[in-house]
Amino acid sequence: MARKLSPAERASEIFELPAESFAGVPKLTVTGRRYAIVEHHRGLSLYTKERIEVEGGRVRLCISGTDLSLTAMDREVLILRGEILSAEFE
Amino acid sequence: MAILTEWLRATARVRVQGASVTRFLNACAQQNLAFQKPDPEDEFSCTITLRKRDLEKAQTLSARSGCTLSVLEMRGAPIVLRRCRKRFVLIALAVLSCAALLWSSLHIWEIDVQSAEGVEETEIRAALDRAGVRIGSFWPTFSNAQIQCAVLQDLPQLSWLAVNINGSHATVSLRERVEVPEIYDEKTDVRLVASKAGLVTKLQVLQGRAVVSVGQTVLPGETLVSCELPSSFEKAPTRLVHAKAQVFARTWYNLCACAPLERTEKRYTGRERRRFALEIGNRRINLYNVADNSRNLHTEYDTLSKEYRLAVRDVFTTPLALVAETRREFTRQTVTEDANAVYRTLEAQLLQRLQQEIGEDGTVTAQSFSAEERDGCLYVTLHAECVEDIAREELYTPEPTPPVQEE
Repeated sequence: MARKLSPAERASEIFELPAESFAGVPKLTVTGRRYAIVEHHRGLSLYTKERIEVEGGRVRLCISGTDLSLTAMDREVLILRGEILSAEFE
Repeated sequence: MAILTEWLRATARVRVQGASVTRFLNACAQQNLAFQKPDPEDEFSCTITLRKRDLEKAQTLSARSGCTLSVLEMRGAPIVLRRCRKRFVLIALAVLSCAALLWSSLHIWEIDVQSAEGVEETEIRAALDRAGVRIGSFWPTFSNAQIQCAVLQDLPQLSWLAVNINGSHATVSLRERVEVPEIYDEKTDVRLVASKAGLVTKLQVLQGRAVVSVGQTVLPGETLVSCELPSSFEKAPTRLVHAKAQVFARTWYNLCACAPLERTEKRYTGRERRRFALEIGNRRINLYNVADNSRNLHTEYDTLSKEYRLAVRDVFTTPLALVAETRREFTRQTVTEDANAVYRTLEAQLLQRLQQEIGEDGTVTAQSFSAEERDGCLYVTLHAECVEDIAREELYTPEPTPPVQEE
């Protein structure tokens, strides 16, 4: 079943505005298999070497892999390194 | 660079334990509290590196997140300095070492001289010493122009010299003077004389007046071609020219060479001794008993020295050096040489000498060798007949005219 969009997400789709800044949803950038940047996050909910879960408001981003580590983290951006196997949204 | 900056700042490696470690990490991120190298041990504990000044804030945040924070290790220059604060001797030694290193870097402890063909290295080093470039000299006062001026005055064989300083290492670069070739001057009055005694076989006069003829015997120094050209006019004066000619003559040589049939040879006994000495600038401290040298006067040694200087190449050089000497003992033994081999060597030497005597234009028309053994030596004599150019240039000096006697 498809997830119901929030009014802000719907507005960003209608007006073709960038959702990450307008609706505050997380933006995931993956470079190769070893490097990922998550912008507009709301904090970590799980941090292990095999799985990192990042809160993103209405969604939760789950990154699985091996030897994962947090390179840097501030209130806006989160940088991950390691052998990334999958990224899922819950 | 990152490692250095991290070391210069005091950091603390801490372990966070609790039900929700991620809550603590989120709180740190919210408070802009920079943390590095987070290493999750399991779901309930994680080790991170924090700046020392953020430690107090992190403890508050950990308490709020329901975690406990324990410091594992403190690192960085401020921590080291704090530890050393009461170790006055250590600090004093460090300061003294720095001062000694600074003082040492302002003095010359090694001099490398570029080799030259015409001048011995010892001569160059002596001239440099007189100019002030020596072991232990204070290099900031050096003036390349003054050193160059002083050394070039001492050694006229050199045309250029420069002293390059790298730390406490001086490299002396030099250029040798190139001799100006003799220039053929058409205007000088030159006559040709015989350089050797011989029988003239061929005359090719290009300029001047031949004084001798083919078949004539000449002695060394005898004029072959005169530079005086008399005019065909009666009252005209004699013209002087630069004589030019090739005068070939038969010449005879008796060259002798000798070599001993016995020679002494070094035989290493296999005994080796190593000894050490400490060099501080120009001073040498022997770390062995000097009296050992005179213990056995009949034993001879080859000494191989190797210097180990306390230095970091191209960075700094110190006056301290350890000299390791390996002394290999040897005895002298008399060996009899093969007479045939000696004969062949002398024969080759004599032929080479003869070729040098007659020059490139000369040819050997006949040659024979004779050998005799006398007083333990082999004497080889070369009898040779050659044809060569014997003309040699000599500056013309007019003979003084005798005073006219009045009647």
